[in-house]
Amino acid sequence: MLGMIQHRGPDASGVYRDDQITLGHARLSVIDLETGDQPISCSRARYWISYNGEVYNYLELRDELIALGHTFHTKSDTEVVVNAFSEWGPRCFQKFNGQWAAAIWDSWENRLVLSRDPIGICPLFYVQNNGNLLFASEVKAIFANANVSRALSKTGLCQVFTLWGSYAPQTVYSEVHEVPPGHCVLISSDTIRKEAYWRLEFGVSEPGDRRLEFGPAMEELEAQLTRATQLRFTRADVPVGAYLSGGIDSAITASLVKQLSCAPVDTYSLRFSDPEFDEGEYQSLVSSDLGTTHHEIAVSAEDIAKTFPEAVFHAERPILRTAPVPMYLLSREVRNNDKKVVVTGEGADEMLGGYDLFREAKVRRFIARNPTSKVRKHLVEKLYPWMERNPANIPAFGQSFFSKNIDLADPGFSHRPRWDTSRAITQFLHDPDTSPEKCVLDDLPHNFETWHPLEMAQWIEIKTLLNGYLLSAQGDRMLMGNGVEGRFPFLDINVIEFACKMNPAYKLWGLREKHILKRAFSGRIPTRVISRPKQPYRAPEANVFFSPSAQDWIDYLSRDVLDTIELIDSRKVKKLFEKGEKFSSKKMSNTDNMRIVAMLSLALIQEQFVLGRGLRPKPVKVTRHIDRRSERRETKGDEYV
Amino acid sequence: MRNEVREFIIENFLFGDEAEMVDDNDSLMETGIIDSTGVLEVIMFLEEEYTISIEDDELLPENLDSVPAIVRFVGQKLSTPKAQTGLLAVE
Repeated sequence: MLGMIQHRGPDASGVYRDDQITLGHARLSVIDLETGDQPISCSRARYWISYNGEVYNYLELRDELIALGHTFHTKSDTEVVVNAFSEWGPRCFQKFNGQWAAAIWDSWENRLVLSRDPIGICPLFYVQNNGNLLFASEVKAIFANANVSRALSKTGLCQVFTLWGSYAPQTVYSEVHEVPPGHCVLISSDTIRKEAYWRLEFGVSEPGDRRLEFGPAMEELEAQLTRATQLRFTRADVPVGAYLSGGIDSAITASLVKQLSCAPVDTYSLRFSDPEFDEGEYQSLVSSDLGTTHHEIAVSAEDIAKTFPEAVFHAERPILRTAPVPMYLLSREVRNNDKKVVVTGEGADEMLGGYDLFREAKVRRFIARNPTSKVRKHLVEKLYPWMERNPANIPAFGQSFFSKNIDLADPGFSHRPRWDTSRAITQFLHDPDTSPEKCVLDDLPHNFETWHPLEMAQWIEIKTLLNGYLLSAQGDRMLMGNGVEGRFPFLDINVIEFACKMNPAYKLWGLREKHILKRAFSGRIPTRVISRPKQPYRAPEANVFFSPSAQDWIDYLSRDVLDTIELIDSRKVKKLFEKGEKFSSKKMSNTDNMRIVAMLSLALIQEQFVLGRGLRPKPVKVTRHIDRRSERRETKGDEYV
Repeated sequence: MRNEVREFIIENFLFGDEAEMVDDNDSLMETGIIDSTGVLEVIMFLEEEYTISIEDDELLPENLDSVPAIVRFVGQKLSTPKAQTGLLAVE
């Protein structure tokens, strides 16, 4: 299993064994380079842990635990996590500020706990198989066991092809479950139970709990973000770099990193030759303003076409956009630059109302209150100004599109246009699920309908696109594919909880997105970056595949793989690819772009995982082996391997 | 013409699956067969296939959002002398 995830932890490998369990660990050394190897135990050797991630407040927790009588033998956050669990049990996860996937084994009671961070930054999967339970950070490690079924799940695929990601615990593989964000899974010999230790909740929950006024809220946001960045920058024993997209969020996190750093800061950006996607002008502006050592890589259409199979291998699920591929190439640049930690601006749009979808939902609500008004419908033309094939280019159709599904009582109101558009991809499946979004609507908090409409939209966005796509397929997987850890100040638990309680009008002020964030940092980053219209990160789309550089593998997929996917109508997919070829020199519709990327990535998933042609583990040298199977002994090195 | 338009919709948006085209009278957008940008492909097809030019103010759901609407609209365009559409001036 470890051989399949060496990319996540190339620095060391460890194994713990007793008569009931084997824990494995592939280490990316970031904190405590000397003594931080895993698996390790708590001070009384009852609990053993294999853990990926960082708990940034570990020094404060360590002091608290020392005061309670715990002793520590390393300087790692891992040892704090396992001791915290021994002290507080699963409640300890409520005390952590960080990102993690942890497996903690109670060797006295033979119980296992799997835990994942509140917002789902670090991945964690498990499978029950013939009385055994296998778990890992990536599905491919579980698939290293040939007894595990690798069959695709129609339910999971329909979710991806509608919501952009599967909804945990569902995955695109029928036997594989994902630990939901903010949950633990408690496992004993006869039971498996999921338990939430944290819930994403918006609104003012307690009577008398008042929201802050704008000025104090702005100051508090700035203080929280500064603290969050400080934790993520200073709590590492390796240099920390920063991504710069050209937008406001990464400009803010990079500026906070620069403020905290005595040494020069390395920043990293993507460039595209197509001006529709390139943000180089703004990246240069910020890097010059901050005085960073700036690195940029130019990504061509050919690079995307050639690297797509490798990126899908790391994503382990179909994707609807090519945008993860350049992110994978960027993390490779970071790693080639001998860095393994970067701070990024991910999460700001979800927490502080930055997405066009939020503006769109606001306009649609305005239309819904008076559907016959012709004037209101013209507001649609203000949406998506960055999009070359903007629906508003044909006003009557754009208005008609955004005026559909305007039932204000629908809890999924904000996301209907996206779900309806994406759902077109399910037409390639035999007998697709008719309501893939039901999993989300069934999971809504009990008081959801008392929240402000923006908060409802934020909750759905975080639970679907952020969890299922941005942090996973485009986030962790594209970073960890090259052994790079992403750190996200906007997803600090204190920033999240503060943003959830903030007055929604401060986030989306009229149709001005992230208003409070822009005001809070207006003197700190260049005005042109603050005032530029929102441009979401995008990359050249499906046209890139209909070129000589991708021809070989697309022909191979069409010829040898598509017909083996039982869940799809391969004849329709081949017609789609023919249409793609025909349109290769023109702009395709948004839906066709998604269809092609989705079907190509699905075919690659079939080839690499279901047919198993990509499951080639790398050799592993185990540097730490703890064997407690018969007599209790511990050693370093590989003498027991 | 009805069959040609219908076949174009089925081949281009339903990838040959005729069963998905339940009723020709259905709205193409309401049923999700085309999205708001997919309508550009319909326009391109009509302009190339029937040698007509569709003006911006004709890009309306009542002209393009169902097979019968398209047939009616194109029929009207074809029966109107070109000089009156302004096309000669463009040429």
